[in-house]
Amino acid sequence: MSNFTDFFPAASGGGGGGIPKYEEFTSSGTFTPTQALIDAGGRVAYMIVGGGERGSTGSDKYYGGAGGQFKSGYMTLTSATGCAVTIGAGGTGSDGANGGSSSIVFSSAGGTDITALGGSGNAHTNYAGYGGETRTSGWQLATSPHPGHFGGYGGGGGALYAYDYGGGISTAEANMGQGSSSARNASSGFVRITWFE
Amino acid sequence: MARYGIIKNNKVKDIIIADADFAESYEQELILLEDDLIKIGYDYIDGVFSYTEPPITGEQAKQWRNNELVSTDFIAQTPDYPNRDAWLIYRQELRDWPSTADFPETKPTKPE
Repeated sequence: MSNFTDFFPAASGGGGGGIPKYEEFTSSGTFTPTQALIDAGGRVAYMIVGGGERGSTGSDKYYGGAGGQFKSGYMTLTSATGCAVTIGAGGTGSDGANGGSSSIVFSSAGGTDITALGGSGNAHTNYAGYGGETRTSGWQLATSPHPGHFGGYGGGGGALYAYDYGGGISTAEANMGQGSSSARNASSGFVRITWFE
Repeated sequence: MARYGIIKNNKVKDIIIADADFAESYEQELILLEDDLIKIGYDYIDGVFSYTEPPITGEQAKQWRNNELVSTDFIAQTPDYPNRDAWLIYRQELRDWPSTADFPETKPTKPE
């Protein structure tokens, strides 16, 4: 895609841009491209977030859970075949529970599969969104290689008490892929697919 | 909506949010998780979930050790801290730990 008008074409007959269509998933389902979308070039924009990690405790400290990985991008589809969409669950039940991965199986319709990993305790190396940190880790938001923050999606969880570092989120918002503090459940992931036809 | 586990090689590989219709049509094996405590990494053998804590890695152990040292720095700098000598021994044990046979499974014992 070379410029803005490739994705936002003028409506046929002139008179301004078209209205984008979109489908959002807060639980797993199937995205089926319309034939009109395929006929118009098959290009979609996607946004996908994995589930957040539930915070944990250890060694006298409190750890915020890592946010789920966040991705956005474009995909070109070539057939009107249904694509499975899975929504990663947030970590629940016990502290330190990892978030589930979200995915879109675009390959069913001629594209490439996309996966956003769930947040986990290995947030420094697994591309998950930045998680809340202990005060001794030396990792700060500004230096995180995996910020994962996009309007709050994939944000890391805050630590339970003020004297520990955290991403600022204590109670994760639903379907934002946010990590949580310990003793609270993290939020599940999210997918949005947008297109014109 | 409910939590479903994606099972692969007798383990919960992932957990997703789905309904029963999706679960039936999904290409991989999905098991309804009725217990919130079941998390990614659980074993699923003969219809029963169980969990075995994975062994701690050397990198994780060093991260824990470093955190312990930093969080007890103030004790070394507080001459009248209760039981300070024991804490200083503990800190030395933390420094020596990676070069001992106890590493990484058995952590040094923290003073009371």
